[in-house]
Amino acid sequence: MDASSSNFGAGSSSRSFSFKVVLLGEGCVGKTSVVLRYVEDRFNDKHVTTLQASFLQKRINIAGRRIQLAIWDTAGQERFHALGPIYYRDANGAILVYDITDKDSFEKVKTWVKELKKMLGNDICLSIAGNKTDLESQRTVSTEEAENYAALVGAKHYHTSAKLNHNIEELFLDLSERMVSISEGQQRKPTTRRNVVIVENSDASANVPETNKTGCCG
Amino acid sequence: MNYNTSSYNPSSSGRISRLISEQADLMCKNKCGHYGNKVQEGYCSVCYKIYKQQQQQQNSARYGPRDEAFGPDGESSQGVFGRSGFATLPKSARLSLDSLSPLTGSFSKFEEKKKQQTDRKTKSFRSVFRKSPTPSSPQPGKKSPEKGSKEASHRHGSDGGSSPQMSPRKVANTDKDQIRDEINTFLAQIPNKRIVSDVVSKVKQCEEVILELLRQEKGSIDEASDIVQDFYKNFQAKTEIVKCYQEISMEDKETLMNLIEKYLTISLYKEFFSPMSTATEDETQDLELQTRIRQLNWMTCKHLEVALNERDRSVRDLVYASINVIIGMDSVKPPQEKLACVTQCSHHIIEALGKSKQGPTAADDFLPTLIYIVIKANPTRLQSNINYITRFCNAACLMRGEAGYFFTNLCCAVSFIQNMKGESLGMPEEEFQDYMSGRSVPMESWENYFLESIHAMEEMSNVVSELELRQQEFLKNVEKFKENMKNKEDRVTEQVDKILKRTPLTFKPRKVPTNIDEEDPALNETSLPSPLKPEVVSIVGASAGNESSVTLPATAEVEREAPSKATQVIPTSSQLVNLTGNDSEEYKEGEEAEVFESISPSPQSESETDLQQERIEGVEKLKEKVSRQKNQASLIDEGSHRQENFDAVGTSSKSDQRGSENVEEGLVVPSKPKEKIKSVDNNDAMESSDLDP
Repeated sequence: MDASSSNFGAGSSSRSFSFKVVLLGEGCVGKTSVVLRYVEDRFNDKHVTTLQASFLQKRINIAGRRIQLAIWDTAGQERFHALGPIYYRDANGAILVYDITDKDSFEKVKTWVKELKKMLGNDICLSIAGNKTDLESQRTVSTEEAENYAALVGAKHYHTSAKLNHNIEELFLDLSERMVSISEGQQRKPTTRRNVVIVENSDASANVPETNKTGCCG
Repeated sequence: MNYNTSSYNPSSSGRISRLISEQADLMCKNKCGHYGNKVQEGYCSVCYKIYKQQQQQQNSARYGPRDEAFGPDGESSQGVFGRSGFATLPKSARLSLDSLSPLTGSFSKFEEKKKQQTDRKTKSFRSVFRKSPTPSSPQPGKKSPEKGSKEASHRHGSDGGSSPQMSPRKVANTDKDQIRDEINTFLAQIPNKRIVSDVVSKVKQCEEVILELLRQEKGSIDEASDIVQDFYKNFQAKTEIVKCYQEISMEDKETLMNLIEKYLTISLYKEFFSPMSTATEDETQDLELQTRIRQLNWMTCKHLEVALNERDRSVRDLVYASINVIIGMDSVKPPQEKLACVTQCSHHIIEALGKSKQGPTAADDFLPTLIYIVIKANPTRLQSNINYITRFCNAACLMRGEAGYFFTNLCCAVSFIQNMKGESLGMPEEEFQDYMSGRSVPMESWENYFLESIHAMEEMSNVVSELELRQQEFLKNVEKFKENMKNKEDRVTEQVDKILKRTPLTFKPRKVPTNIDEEDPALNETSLPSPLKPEVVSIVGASAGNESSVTLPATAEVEREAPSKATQVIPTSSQLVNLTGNDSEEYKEGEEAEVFESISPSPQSESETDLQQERIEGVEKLKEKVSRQKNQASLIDEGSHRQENFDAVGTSSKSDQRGSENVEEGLVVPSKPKEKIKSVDNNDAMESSDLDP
């Protein structure tokens, strides 16, 4: 999804964006809780109306810009790690969630960051969320270490608690703002069509990006 | 490659395949002097047009009314789709055209498909545009005056079977007609005709550019994909920028984009789906994936930690529903519809997961389940379908929204299946290989068989319960029928009774055949006059009348004995008649007995009516005899006189006559009720037929 395509030629005041945000994180770090808290403001609710939390959409407004967030949950199990690139292709943003009580989950975040950087470069906005701050007493990942790492890779770090609804809103809001600014910056560049390549071995067409097509319809 | 800059002229006949070397091969098959074209099956454009028209006419005898707005009127600016047969395909031509569709193909049909695709090289893609149904449509060629004769000669040529590739091949298909109708209906709503003509021309242009590209040997499917994607993107941009498009709403723009995508993909489905240029690749991939999935048949929920509770019946039903939907993906054509199948399958899975565990379903649960479903379903040509969607679905749509997400998940599932190792399932590689090669079967796989058996059992129990229902229904009907029958029976009995009451069948006490030799116990012998004994008188003709006058009162006296009397008398008289010519003295008792016997053999065994009948017959016989002897006997007159007298005696025995009449009446009477019963039966039959389930 190319955010620029949706606001092509629209008036400057009412621009609309739609962003794809992938949600990465090991199983049991609370990815689903974070996104459900954000989209539906619910936590472990028995009356959750939506059956699924794997794909959620949310519309927000930031400074007159209409933004539609499509939040893609990903399977966090180790066995599906290799599938990551398929998920986060063409993503505008990524939220990497780890459990502050689980050192391993933080290590996992690091590997994902590496992959994302490799795949999407600096076009992608990264946010790292240390979840479960309500379990502060059991913390194993030090705040300092996490924040240092986030700064190093150019990501924003948030301490969140889906249970207490702490910092969730801020996390998404900040990410959206950064995505808007990146997208607006990109617009001045000539747009290249991103080829959708789904399976790794069929990416022949991606290697031949056709740039600057003369508009046939204009 | 930009389709806008292409100077493609559809009526040019000079496009010649580089493979053709001889001059003769270059000429029109019709020998009209023009150059032929390989894609036009060796005809020049003029002859080809006529040929196509004929084909079209063969396929549909008559044509439906044309849409005026999009008709083939060359002067109309909006008539482009119509000209290309966009709006005008008759309904009658839409039947049985899908035989060429590769949809039904499984792997066993690869040969067939390949052949089709090879045929594709030789047949015109634009044939769909060539079926302008009116023969009077303007011919671009200068040879139009000779059209008639050419048509005739062409028909001869084709009938002679001179060209093997001229087998009647159907070029249109129903899906395409449907989308044509759809897009025309939609365009008809748009007030601004500039939009309509623009859409029509641009779409057509894009289609032709792609066809042109694919016709070239080097044209790869990826290039086609690029063209299509660029077209989507540019057209989308155009609808946002160009002024006349501002008139239509966002929803309409979206619908228009969808329709355009649908139209392009449907009309070029054969070229786009698992195409020839990459056919080996796509098909090989399909085969590999299918074999791979087949090898993974042993996998269970446990291996992937799928949270499905397959022991729950509703969950199982949803699992099977999702399997059906994903398998159905192969049979729809537009990428959007394929995506819709994926989405629906995913929704079934999510619902099943929702029933299996608490809380909303996240990707952690969803993806393994989808993998499991894909393994269970093993959808046909999965890789081809994925490639097709990736190439020709509007990329903006594909990456946006739920459908894109689920499609991505499907791709992940396929990728996982392809790259699965023992490690991915948390088992030693050796063990994994053993399972893959079928050398051993995992312990857990019993669950697979268990679940499959359960499913089979359920299906059977469904059948059984259905049968049971039907059985119950049947039994109920039988009961009803029985009851009805009983009612009928009662009614019939009642009616019969009524009828019988109305017309009673009363049998008069049957008369005991009287043995004349026996004494009647009711009568004292004393009270009766002694039986008359025929007096043997020496009769001579004239005295016969006297004799009868003597007998007469006697019979009247003893009424009951009349039959015997009469019979007794008859022989006597007959004898007399017989003997009239002879000496009457010769009369003997023995002869009399003999004659009597022949007339009424045994009174006991015969009913009285029979007796009566016989008696009458006897009389008749006698009459005959009498008449026969007319010539001989001179005294015939007296004999006949006597006979007449005797007849009077017969009729005078009134009690006998009445008795026999009564019997006869008794026999006749029931015949009327019988008819009534019959009609009642008919009613029964009619009513009982209602009961038939």
